[in-house]
Amino acid sequence: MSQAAAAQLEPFDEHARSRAVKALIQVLLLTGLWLLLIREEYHFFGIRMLGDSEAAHALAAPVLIGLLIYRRWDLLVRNLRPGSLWGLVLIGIALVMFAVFTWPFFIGYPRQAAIVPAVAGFVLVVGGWRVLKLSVPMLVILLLAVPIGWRQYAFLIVIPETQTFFVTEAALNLLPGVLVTMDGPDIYFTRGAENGTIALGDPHRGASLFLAMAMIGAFVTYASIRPLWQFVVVAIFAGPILLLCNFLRLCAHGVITIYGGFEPLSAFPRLAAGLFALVLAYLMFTAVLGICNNIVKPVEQDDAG
Amino acid sequence: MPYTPTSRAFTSPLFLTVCTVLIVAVLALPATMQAIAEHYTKLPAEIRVPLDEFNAHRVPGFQAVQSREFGIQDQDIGTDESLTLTMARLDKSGQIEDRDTLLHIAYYDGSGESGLRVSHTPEVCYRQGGATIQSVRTVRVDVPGLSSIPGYEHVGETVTARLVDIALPGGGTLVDIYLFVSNGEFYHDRERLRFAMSWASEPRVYFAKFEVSAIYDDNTPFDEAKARVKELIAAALPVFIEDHLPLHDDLMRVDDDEA
Repeated sequence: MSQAAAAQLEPFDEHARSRAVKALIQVLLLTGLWLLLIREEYHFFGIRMLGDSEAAHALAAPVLIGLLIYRRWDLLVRNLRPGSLWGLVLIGIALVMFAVFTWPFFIGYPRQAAIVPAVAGFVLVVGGWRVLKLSVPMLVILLLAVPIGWRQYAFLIVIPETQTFFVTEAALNLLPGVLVTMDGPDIYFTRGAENGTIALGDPHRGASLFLAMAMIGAFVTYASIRPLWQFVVVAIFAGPILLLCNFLRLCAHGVITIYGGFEPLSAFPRLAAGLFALVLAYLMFTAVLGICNNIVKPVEQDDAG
Repeated sequence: MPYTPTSRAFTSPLFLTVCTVLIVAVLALPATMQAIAEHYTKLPAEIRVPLDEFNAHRVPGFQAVQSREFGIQDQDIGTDESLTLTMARLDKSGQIEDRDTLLHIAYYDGSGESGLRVSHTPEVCYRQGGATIQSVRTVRVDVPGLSSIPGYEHVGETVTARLVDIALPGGGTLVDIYLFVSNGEFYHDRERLRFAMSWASEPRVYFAKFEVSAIYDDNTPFDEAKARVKELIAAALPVFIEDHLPLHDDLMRVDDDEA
């Protein structure tokens, strides 16, 4: 029996919940101090989160983290141990990251991402190694919430975007009575006597919502306590799922525009296709985890038998 | 180590140590880093000879021509010091070939609002303009004579550059090769350039983007266009370096009023 599983079975002592609440308040207090430290970044965060669909998912991060804490609360309470001095090392690393990426390297993303080792350090100082291990899901969500600079993002997605355009063109050409041609990021279609344009929308026309879908995947995966191998399986499938959802988002955008008779720059097809992709990502990650659960259960039953 | 009693959770030495560290950091770190950054701010490095005076006659094997294939538009690229020239290769008999090769140079001296911000790379900018990026890869370009330029002896005769294969909106395909030069070093990667400029030992820092592109199609296959682009880089890069870029001594000079 693993340590975590053993700890799960340990009864609470009378002060355990009270200690856990105080530990949570301590982490929140320290995180508040860190947020004061990075106050200069708020302007950037505000612009990105409120004005860019590629970073808006960060607004959901506090809620998702709160839900994950809620889901794991009993486990966190049982595993609360004395804090470790190693937390100071993590906090030191975070402070160095913040300083070095202010000067000499003035680079925003690592400076903002320093919140992840900082919070990990706070958790370790307050709750010990077991609680830190149980907090990895919350830290992953926090990391996914840090907005990547749009130039770096544009550079990272430039090739997947192009490949997705080509596959989308081929897929839309399979629609009965529809002829589709691509010009740059725009797809032109002819359907009977009707001609039109599917303008996939600036700035991330062909590769969008990757981080939002990844956050959904992380949340779905971490919402339950799972064996390590399931995380590995999800990690392997995460890339293909994100690419597939993005491809289907473009297809949905095209189908809605073609059959709905929308203008090229209408917001509705883009929003509907984006929502469709997010729901699809949720369903796909859930399906992968469902398959994982159902593969193992019969094996366990056989072993038991 | 015994567990901290509930009542002492907020007064445990470890928690108070972390609080103290963070409060000191909140009060002092941003201001200190700002002061250090200002103290070590790099000084502008003016171009030695303005790019308006680029001597295209010094580029062997090519001649500047009126553009036949490229629609050239003025764009805000964060610097006034830029040059766009349409060049045509000369054949063995000295006649101008019928395909254009576009040379674009932009020099950033570190002054002004944009400072040393590296904002423009073709794979991102063309994409914003509606093009589709078909591939991005690294290529090596031979530049004979490069190592004989004073200050560039360590570089050798080959530079690494980035090649971008672009499908233009409205039809047409383009091969574009670019590289950066900063304080006598070459970079093909924007992030490496940013790190290098932050870490430069000279008090003055500049960077320049050197970009050459050509259209390829059924008449001019990709490999042929790429070879022509590389040829123009090999011919024009030494001229740009020799005639325009600041010398090492210029980068080390600090005037009394700047000290």
